[in-house]
Amino acid sequence: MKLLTYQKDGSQAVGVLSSDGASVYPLSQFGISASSMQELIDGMTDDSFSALKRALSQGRAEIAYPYDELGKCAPIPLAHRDMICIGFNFRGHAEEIARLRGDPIASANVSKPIYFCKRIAHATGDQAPIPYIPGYAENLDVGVEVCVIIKDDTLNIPPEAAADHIFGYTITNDVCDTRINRIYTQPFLGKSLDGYMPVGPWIVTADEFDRDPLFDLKLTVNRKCRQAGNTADLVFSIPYIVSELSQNMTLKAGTMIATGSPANFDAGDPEKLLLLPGDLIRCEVSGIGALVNIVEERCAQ
Amino acid sequence: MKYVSYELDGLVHPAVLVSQTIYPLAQFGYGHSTLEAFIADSDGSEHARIRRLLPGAAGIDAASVRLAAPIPEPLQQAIIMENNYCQSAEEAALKRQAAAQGKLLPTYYYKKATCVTTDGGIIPRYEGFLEQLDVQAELCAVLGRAVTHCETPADARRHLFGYAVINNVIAHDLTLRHRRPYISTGLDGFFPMSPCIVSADEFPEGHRFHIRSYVNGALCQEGTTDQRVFSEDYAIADLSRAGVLLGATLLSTGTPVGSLRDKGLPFLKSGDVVRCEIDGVGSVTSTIR
Repeated sequence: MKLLTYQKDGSQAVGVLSSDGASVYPLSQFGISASSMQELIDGMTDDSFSALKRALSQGRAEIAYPYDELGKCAPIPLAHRDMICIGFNFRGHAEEIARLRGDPIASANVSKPIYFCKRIAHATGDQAPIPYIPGYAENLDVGVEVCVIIKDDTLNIPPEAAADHIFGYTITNDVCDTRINRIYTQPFLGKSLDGYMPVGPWIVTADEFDRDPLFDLKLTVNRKCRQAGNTADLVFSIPYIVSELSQNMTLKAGTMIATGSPANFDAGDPEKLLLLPGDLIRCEVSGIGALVNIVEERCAQ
Repeated sequence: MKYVSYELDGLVHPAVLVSQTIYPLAQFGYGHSTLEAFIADSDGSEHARIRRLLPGAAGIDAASVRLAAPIPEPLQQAIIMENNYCQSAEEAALKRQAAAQGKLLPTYYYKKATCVTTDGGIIPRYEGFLEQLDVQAELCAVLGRAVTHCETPADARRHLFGYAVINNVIAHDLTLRHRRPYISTGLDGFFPMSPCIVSADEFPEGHRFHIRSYVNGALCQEGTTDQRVFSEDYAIADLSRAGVLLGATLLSTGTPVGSLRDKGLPFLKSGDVVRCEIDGVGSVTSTIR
């Protein structure tokens, strides 16, 4: 199932995308009272999940809205849980960052994952602008990532059990202002500007994939390919990451984990990487879809 | 005004604490189900209003209920200011001059705050998983209503709801292993907070807070907020340039020097009792187990 949050008549609701992608069925018609994706994840049981799938396969949806006419939202618009990120999880990207910073290439060797957290006040979704703020944030960097959504409160699980605690997968674009990121030491502020973590367009539930799925990732800027990769090349796999993060640290239902972005083709030529207002960024992940955002100039406040 | 969350019939309710009496907030016309929701809605005028209404208010004996952490399960993580304290106020003043010339910036990171404990709680030792467990007493600023943009630190001050004491528990070996402090400060039980959030209007602007931590009764850290390079006001203005700060954001302003690591003392072990306190704000005591 592709579950999404949409906006209609000024309010947000949760729905499921039809198999042809043309319509959205509001979940409320299936007796699901959750008013948000977070509430849906918190309240979902194996039984209620099966019942929803059954209702859909039996064609019991009576209310349907054309997808194109609905407002697009991030799947979890008000992220009450963490957006955990992993630095240097594609070897090529790690080397690229080391080169750009003038660090020794050996600094790209990581024996343990580098975790950090992005701050998201109001998460943006598909079609949302990525702010370019003259005089403040003019050095945008983007990265396509597979984002894991945790299903239930998860503590101390082995990698083999990770699949049992994954609700689904979505796409994120890890936007960063490289200047702000560099001068503030920790990878926090430069990655936490409003609009700097588009997520979406929907969550594909984990039952649509193998227990340990592999994903193709691709990022294009104005239709020109900038990043491509497959999660088979992650330094630390998704099951490893979920397991390690759960050691003595409860991952609450709805926690999002962005698993790393692949290297840029034009790395080494920072000029070619510069993004400007009007640039169209498309992040594609196999089996999920595409997340599209446009860089838009915003006045410094 | 001291704001607390107390437990009654399995639920947590917001209230103010005056000497030994708890006054539930609902009677003052605030229908918020949690203290966090009340704070996220606050413009700072509530403190004076509640003080005015107190004489006729109905109270509960504080000894008859249990106090929870003021915000037991925050809706967002806490922003922590790293490396913010100097050895002396003079050194901090010099660094502020460097900052005014754009040569120095604050450092922030996100501390996981999905489970906040309070006075009398347990900090797990996680034997075998980590080695270098340490105390970090901090003054934590609590913001009121969402902040979209502040021009200056002076402008930021009106967005302050109040202050609490936190112990920003850290395992230094995990910071080294993972390069960043996400796991090392984010394990379950690593966020003890004082039972009260004291309203900002109880302190004059630029108040010099006195912070101490103790391990088994022996003084560990000691510092004053004039040893900080950056104030909470500065950080609010700085952070709000990047984006909106949601209501009830927790912004902890760093830890004074003198932790167990700074002093070369043995790290925390099972059975140790750790206390963090700030004059006028409160304290939080935890047992390592």
